[in-house]
Amino acid sequence: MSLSKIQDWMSWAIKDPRGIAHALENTPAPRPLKSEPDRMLETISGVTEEEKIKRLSVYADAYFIRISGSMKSDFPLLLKFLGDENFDHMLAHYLVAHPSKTPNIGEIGIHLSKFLNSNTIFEDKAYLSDLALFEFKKIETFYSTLPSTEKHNSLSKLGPEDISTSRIVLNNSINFLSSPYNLLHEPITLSEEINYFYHLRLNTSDIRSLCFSAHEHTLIQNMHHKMTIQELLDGDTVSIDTPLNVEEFFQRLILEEVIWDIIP
Amino acid sequence: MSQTTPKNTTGIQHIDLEVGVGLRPFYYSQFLGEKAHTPWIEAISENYMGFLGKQGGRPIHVLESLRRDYDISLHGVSMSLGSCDELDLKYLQQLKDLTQRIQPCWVSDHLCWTGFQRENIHDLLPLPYTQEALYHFADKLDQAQNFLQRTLSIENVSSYVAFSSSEMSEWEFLTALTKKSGCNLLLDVNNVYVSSKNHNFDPWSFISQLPKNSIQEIHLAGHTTNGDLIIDTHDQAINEAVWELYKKTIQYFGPLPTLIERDDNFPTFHELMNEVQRARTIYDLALCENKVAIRDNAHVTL
Repeated sequence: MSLSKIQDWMSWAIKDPRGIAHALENTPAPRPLKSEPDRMLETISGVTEEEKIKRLSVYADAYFIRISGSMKSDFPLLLKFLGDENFDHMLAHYLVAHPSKTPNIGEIGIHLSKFLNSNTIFEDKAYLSDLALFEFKKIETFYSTLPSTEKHNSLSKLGPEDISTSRIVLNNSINFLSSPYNLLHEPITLSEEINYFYHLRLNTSDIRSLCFSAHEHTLIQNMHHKMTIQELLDGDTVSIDTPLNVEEFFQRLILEEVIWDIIP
Repeated sequence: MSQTTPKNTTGIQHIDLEVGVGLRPFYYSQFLGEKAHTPWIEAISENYMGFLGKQGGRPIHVLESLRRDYDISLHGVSMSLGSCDELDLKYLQQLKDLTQRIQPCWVSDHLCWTGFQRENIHDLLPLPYTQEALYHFADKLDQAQNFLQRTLSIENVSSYVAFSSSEMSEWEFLTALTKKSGCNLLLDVNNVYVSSKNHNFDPWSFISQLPKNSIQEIHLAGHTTNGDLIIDTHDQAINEAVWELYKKTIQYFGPLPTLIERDDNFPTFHELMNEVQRARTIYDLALCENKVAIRDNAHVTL
């Protein structure tokens, strides 16, 4: 039996969500196998077929348990809303549709949001797709890099005169997503009128998330262009109709380390 | 197959590192906050190779901070040298970037395959010990060593299945591999014990027949008994039988850097350090008894 045939068969059997015994029954499996499954079992040492299946099942169980453990740790909110059993049920389907193609187990969930969006298993929980995206963005943020410059010591002493002339350095670990769902509050509710904008970022000790209005989100997006604060406010046409408490808004961004530094 | 020795390798590098411990995110704050009583730590390479192709973030920041206080080795779980797939050059480049950034004392991976046709199983799957597998593994290892410009250490894995097509024992396979590729060995004493129980062979026969000059490092970990199989779970304290095997190994091979691994059911940092201390005591005792034995033998000869 060639090495390639053994690996083709073993990986096929291990990944079958129904377990080794069912995979070997020759019923339709997630991926077609060119060789005869029952004949392939001869390549495993052991006295009985039952013993061979039991030994192979160690790998099949470990495959699912390891990925399930990692995904549950990476998607705690999704786990909370689905429950343990439903999460595993969903994951078994997900792994058939999107088997891992990465050496980094943390990247397996990259397609989860789209999978939940296109899948009808949990039609009554339409917010799950956005929740999965929110949690995956959180992992991405964890692997982001904070600005290389040290935070300016006088940041918290920012006065009104600084607002008119200074330039902003944003925390460059920011990831954002928008959703019609209020994901940070239970029960998760759908807004018919507005989109919520979630900004995730690293601060010096943790990953934090904040929810902003569309207006605030646009202002933060504009900060990426490194204009002066005055230029930023001058271009803010929304505030003409909906006045923004500028000082309060900026202090909040500074406190939450969305703004990393102000360059005079 | 090329049998060239990669440039800029140091070969066996027996730094006096005694007993180290595996770095896991669960213990980040302790490692960063207080100096562990261990001269070296081992990091799982894949945890620091970036995310979705991007380098950076908290993990590599932690590792670089710790590099100032500890010697660091890099231990991989996904090179998949035994797989019939082509080598993953993107993975190797990320590993190379990491080695250049961290300057590890050595780099290791496993005698296994972890996936087929680019689908990853995230487990260390055993190979049949055939000439075909040996040539295949040695060829890919040679390519990897040349790409990384360093000698790699290859670890024996715990296994639950064996193959009827095997033509040699695992230790014969490993010995042949060192000759073909010039690689070093990472001897996991717990894995030898686990496989010996699962496949009914004498663990000391395995260990004592390995090539003495090729062993770079030793691993120790705990396991779990599941019916008549033993599973390499790394979630328990090290078993007494493994401690005994370890002492015998140090007596036989002499001083070798030893690492304690724990991957689940984490004990307190203090308890983990107690296990490190126990390994150090056994290590010292084994070497001390060796010296006494050598002295006594010399006395008898005189």
